[in-house]
Amino acid sequence: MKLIVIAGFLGSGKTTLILSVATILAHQRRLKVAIIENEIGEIGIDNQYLEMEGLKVKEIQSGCICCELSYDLLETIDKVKNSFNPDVIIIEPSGVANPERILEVLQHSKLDIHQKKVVVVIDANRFSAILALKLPFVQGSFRVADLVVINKIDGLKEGVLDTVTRAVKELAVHSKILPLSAIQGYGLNELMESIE
Amino acid sequence: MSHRYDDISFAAFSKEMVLSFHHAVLPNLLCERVQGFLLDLCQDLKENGCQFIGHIKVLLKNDQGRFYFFSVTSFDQFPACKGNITKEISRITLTMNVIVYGLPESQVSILVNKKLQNINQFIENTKGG
Repeated sequence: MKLIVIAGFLGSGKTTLILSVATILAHQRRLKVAIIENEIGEIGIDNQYLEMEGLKVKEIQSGCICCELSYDLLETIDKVKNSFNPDVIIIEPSGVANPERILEVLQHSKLDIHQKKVVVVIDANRFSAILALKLPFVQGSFRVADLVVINKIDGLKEGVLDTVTRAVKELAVHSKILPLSAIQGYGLNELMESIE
Repeated sequence: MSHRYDDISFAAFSKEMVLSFHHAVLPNLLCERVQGFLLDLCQDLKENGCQFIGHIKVLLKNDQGRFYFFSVTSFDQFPACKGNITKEISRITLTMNVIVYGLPESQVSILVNKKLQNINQFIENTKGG
């Protein structure tokens, strides 16, 4: 079983990206895909949205899977594996989750995961404003990212993408960086090559 | 109360409610008016001291499983709308999630609840947008 963690700050476009990735994996590659959604807020919206788009989603609600619900994450992966036996599980942590902690949780599991990829999604438009908040989990996410997706590049002002790319290179020294527009579909082929 | 992860506080608000309209609303009008409602809500949040929008999401779902999804991530951004509702609507389920920085959760709850009290008039165009 393959596991893809698609993390990123609130509003970075994780769910839209997951919809595109999961649709390609399920409909073009004919793989069995399950999505585990963790959302801040008492009522989940992303899970409903993805389900209405025809995807199989399991929700972990009322907390964060990187801390108080870490056990729930392992249990949920186990249940999904036993009930659906997917080829790929995509995990969408909440927009305030620390992917470093999620990886620690996964490392302590006894699950048979043969490949694990961490994709960190950033919103090109808000990147500098989000960095200015000095959120430790945002900084930490770059340390474990296999791939950093600079999302929402459609309609960017001139020079913004270069500035953001330079800043990301300094933070995510070992990660591949990919500019993309999940909503327009730009960069999706390159993303699929990187995670498959 | 606010939530704290990594020593940074944010306020979260969630609500689900069913909206019924006296006269059925066309899909494009529904979309436009909810966008107007969200712009108004963002303005209220900003005027009351909200410093940063994490994410404001609204899902409108009808009985046929069709939907509109709205997303706002910045005070300067026009709310995005996507979905597949094609027929006029007289009843719809609204789910809303608001995550913002700079306000206590109690205040966010009061502000958003107050705004939601008028959402029917907003959509039926008898008030505001």
